[in-house]
This record gives sequence, structure tokens and C-alpha cells, in this order.
Amino acid sequence: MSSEAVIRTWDLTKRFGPTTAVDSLTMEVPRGEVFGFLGPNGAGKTTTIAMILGLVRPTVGTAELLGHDIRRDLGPALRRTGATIETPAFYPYLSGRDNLRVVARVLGGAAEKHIDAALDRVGLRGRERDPFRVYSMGMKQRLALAAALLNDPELLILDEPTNGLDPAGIQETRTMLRRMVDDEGKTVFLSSHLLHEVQQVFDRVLIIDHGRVIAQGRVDDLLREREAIEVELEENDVDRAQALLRSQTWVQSVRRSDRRLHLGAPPERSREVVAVLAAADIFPSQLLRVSSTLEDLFLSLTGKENHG
Amino acid sequence: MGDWIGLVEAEILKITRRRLSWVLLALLALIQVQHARNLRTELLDYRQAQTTGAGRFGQAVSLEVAVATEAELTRRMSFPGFLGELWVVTDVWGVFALLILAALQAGEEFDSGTARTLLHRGAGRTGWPLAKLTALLLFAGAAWLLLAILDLPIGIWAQGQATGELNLSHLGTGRLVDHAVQLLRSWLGLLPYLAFASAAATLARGAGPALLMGLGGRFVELVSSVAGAFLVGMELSGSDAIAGWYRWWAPLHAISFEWNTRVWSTWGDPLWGRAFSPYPASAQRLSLPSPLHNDPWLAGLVLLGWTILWVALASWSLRRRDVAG
Repeated sequence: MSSEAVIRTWDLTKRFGPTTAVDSLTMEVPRGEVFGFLGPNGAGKTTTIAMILGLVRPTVGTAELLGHDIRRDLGPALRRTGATIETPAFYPYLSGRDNLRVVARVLGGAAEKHIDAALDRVGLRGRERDPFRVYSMGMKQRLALAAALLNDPELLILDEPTNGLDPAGIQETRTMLRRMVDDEGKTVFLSSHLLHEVQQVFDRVLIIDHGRVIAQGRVDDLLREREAIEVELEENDVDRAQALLRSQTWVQSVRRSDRRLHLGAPPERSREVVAVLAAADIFPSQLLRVSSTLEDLFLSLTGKENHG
Repeated sequence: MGDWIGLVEAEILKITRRRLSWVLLALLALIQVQHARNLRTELLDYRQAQTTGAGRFGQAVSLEVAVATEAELTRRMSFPGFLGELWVVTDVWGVFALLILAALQAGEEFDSGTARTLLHRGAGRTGWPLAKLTALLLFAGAAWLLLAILDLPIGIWAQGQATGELNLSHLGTGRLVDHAVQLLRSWLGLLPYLAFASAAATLARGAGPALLMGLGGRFVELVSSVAGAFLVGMELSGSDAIAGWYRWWAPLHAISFEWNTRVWSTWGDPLWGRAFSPYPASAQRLSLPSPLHNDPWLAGLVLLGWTILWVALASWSLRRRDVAG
């Protein structure tokens, strides 16, 4: 992992009475990437973010944000960070613009000059004078994102930013975040449970469940481990084919389902599968390269495959 | 310091954009107007009593009392004399209005979840409560000033009612300065109330409990003042029934906001110029036994101590307790 991490945690733990929300979480978020922080509802994502942002005190462990200890010296790091956490919270009687003015004044400096640019960037122009209380959920999310961008932060921490957005909004957000990382050198730490909507944007992910890390790494590496080949055969050939393929060193697993064999093997070995079977006079009626998605990985790791 | 001023500006923006701020101010102005109308009714009653010998409810009123009261009412119904009546509004209704505003201003951060929005953008855990207090105090100052300005037309109208003429020749700079100084002291005396309501909202994590504590506390204070007056009377009359109760009540009342703001804003003359006083016989000076002090500097220190305590508690709550929801 990169030595220049924008977020580091060591054994970060939060207990609420008998409930452990986050359990010994150790992670590093490298600079200049989109880092996905994934987990089902109630996995501990928001609590972790709240601890990193100084809103919730860790029970055990500590963390650094942009090199600053969250227990002692968080202020300077917060000024270089933009964040959204949980449901967007703003003053209902103030307009979108006035809410941004309040945040800008807290940030100080030149933040107020960035209001127009932030409104343009999130597509809230034309509605910025409406009171926050009449905003739809999607507009609230956009306003939260605009508030996060006001100080031109080097790190964005976004907690479920696509909740409530329509498909076009999700697409815009994805593109915007990717551009911020690729063109502006920012780092994005994004939590979500809607993986099919944001999978394309991540460079690296960490998956937690019940407060514990269950997988982490580069998205490509994690998905490659899940790739497979599926072979459909004549009924009489299935047993022989299974034995043959099991003996190949590059096949990690063979699972039978009726007339199909599911091989834990890289899809680029498909030709070798055909060759091995053909040498034994077995000719598959169908051969599929099965690629995995982040959602498949997530569901299998969190044990929710059977629940859809 | 620049960041803190930004926080104050943000709080002022919220107060001025809140409709309730202006509704409360308008209500205070209406109470001012109604108070002038009440004085006029009282004046007419005493004027009539000079010929009929009977008050509004048919009670006997001697000519001397009727003349003296009419003179006193005429003095009050003038400008700047009417500025003295402003305390009726500010010290009773104004405090209630600002307690409501302070509780909402601090409590909404938790009710709307904006505490986490601003704290994770770097709002200081001590600077923010102090900024809230400063913004509320500045708004209160502006409100008191507006009400004082409103006293000019009301005072002129009242004077016209009392004397039948609009004569401003008696309007001396010295009296105006006296009233301005008292206005300033009364304004500063709001600090502990504002700090208390803000801290209550921060500690209770919401406006509802803070409203309850702020308004309830103020009400208890006022009731306590009346009870104190009663106990003083019992004490002075040597009644055995509740002998000694005053000695329990007085030390508690001596550190209350009510007593100290009164001593502070009247500069050691707590029964001064009260048209509406919970104490009996406001014209008559009670010989207040110890330990109720009359030292304005001590009162100022007590009020400052309370203010620091409440701000410190709010800051402690933001530093040491999780901010979620």
C-alpha cells in the first residue's frame, strides 16, 4: 500500500453499551484514489466515518486524518477535508445558498467565493434560493456535496452520497468524482451499500460487516479471484469431466450443478479446458466465462447471497 | 479570531433569517404599545377620581393620592420618561422571548442534525457556543435599540394623552444618557439567560428540553421573587408560622439570575422604576436584610460567573460526548 495515506486507522473500535459497532478496524486509504468503504446497512460505516471526523469518540484505537491525530489535532485536517455524513442535514428555513453561506463562514477564508462554482458543479443552479425544507432527497444530497466542495478539499469523505439520486444524478456524481481524482489529484473515500451504482468508480475497496473487515484490496484483484468458467456437458460425461478438471493444478475448485460444472479458474484458461476435455473425447455443449461483480463479491462475503 | 467572527456571522445570518425572531420582536413592540394604552387608562381613572373620589372599581381614592398618582403617571408617559417603561417589556417579556430564541438557536443544531454538519467542517467546540452567545446578544442589543426608538413615537403619543400637548422642551441629554446606560446594563444582564438556554439545548441535545428548562426556570424565578416578597413580609411582621423560611430562601435568591440582573441593571437599586414588580409596595423601599446583596459589581460578577459556567458546560458537552443523529 502507498506510504502516503490520507486516512489511517489502528484498531479503531466503538462500542455503544454491549453493542460493538466497529471492531478493531485497521486500514489505510492511499492518496489519489477512489476508495470504496462498503458494507451492508448497520455494518459500522457511518460510525467509522464519524470517528474519523471527530464526531464520535473511539472506545479503543485511534486514527489519523491527513497526518493529524483525530484525538488531539483534528482541526487543521478538517479544513482540508470535505465530507458528507448520513442524511444531509441543513437548516430547513434557509435557502440552499444561505445554507452554503453558513458552512462557508464556518470554513472561513475564501470558501464563500466558491459557492457559485459548487452550485454549478452539483447542478443546483436555479434552485439555490428555494428553502432547504422543500428540496427533494436528491437535491439535498447535491447540496451536501456542494457544501463538501466549498473549501476545495484535497480529501472528500462521502457517506452514501448517491442515496436518493436518480440514475442521471448517480451517473453525474460518478463522473464528477472520477474526474476529481484523475484530473485534480483529490482523494475520495466513499461509503455505500449500492454497489452496482458505484462499482465503476472505485480503485480500491474495503468491505466491513458487523464492524469487522472482511475483505480489502484493489477492485481488479478482488474480482479476479472470483472469476470462473462454467462448462455444460452431456449427462454421461459430467463425472469424467469433473475428475479430469479437478486434477488440473490451475483449477482451484470444481462445483457440480446438474449438467454444469463451475470451475474456479481464470477465464483465460478456457482454451485449456476445452483441450483437456477434447483429449478425453468430451465435447462441452457450452462454455461460459463468468466474470464477477463487486456486488457478487459483497453478497458472498456478507453471506447475503440467498436473500437477493 | 477570523474563523470565530465567521461563526458569529453564520449565527447572525440564521437568527435574522428565522421568521420567529421577527415575530417575537413584533410581539414585544405590541406589548410596548399596549403598555402605553394601559398607562393612559390608569391616568384617566385617577383624573376622574379627583372629582368623584372613586377609582375604577369603585374603591375610595383620596384626592392627594389621585393627584400624586396622576403626576407620577404623567412623568412616566413622556419621552424620555417612557423609556423607563421599556424595562417592563425587556425584563419580563423580553427575557422570555430571548430564552425561546436561544433555545431554538442552539437546539436546532441537534434537532436538524446540523451540529454534525458544522462540527465536521471545523466549528470550534468552545468557539461555537461563544459565537452563538455573541450573536444572540448582538440581536438582543439591536432589538432593545429598536424598541427604545419605538418609544419615541409612543412616548410622544402618551405625553399628548397625558398633558394634551406635544412639548419636547424637557427632553434633556442627561436623562437620555441615564436611560441609555440602563439599557446597556439591562442588555448585558441577558448574558446568563442566553448562556443557560444555549447550554441546556446543548446538554439535552434538542430545543424542546431547553425551552422547558429556560421558560420553566424563568417562571420559577419570578414566582420565587413573589414568594420572597411574601416571606420578607412575614419575617418583618414576626410571624411564627413560617419563621426562618426567608433565611433559606434569601441565599438561594441572592445567586439567582433574577436578583443579580435586577441589582446589576438598576445599579444597586433593585426596586427602581418598576411599573410591574413582583415585590410588594414598589414605591416603598424595603429594608432588605442580609444576605440579599445590593452591590452591582458583585451582581455583575455573579452573572459573569453563571455565563462562564454555562458556556463551559456546553463546550464540555460538545467535546466529550458523541454527536450523532
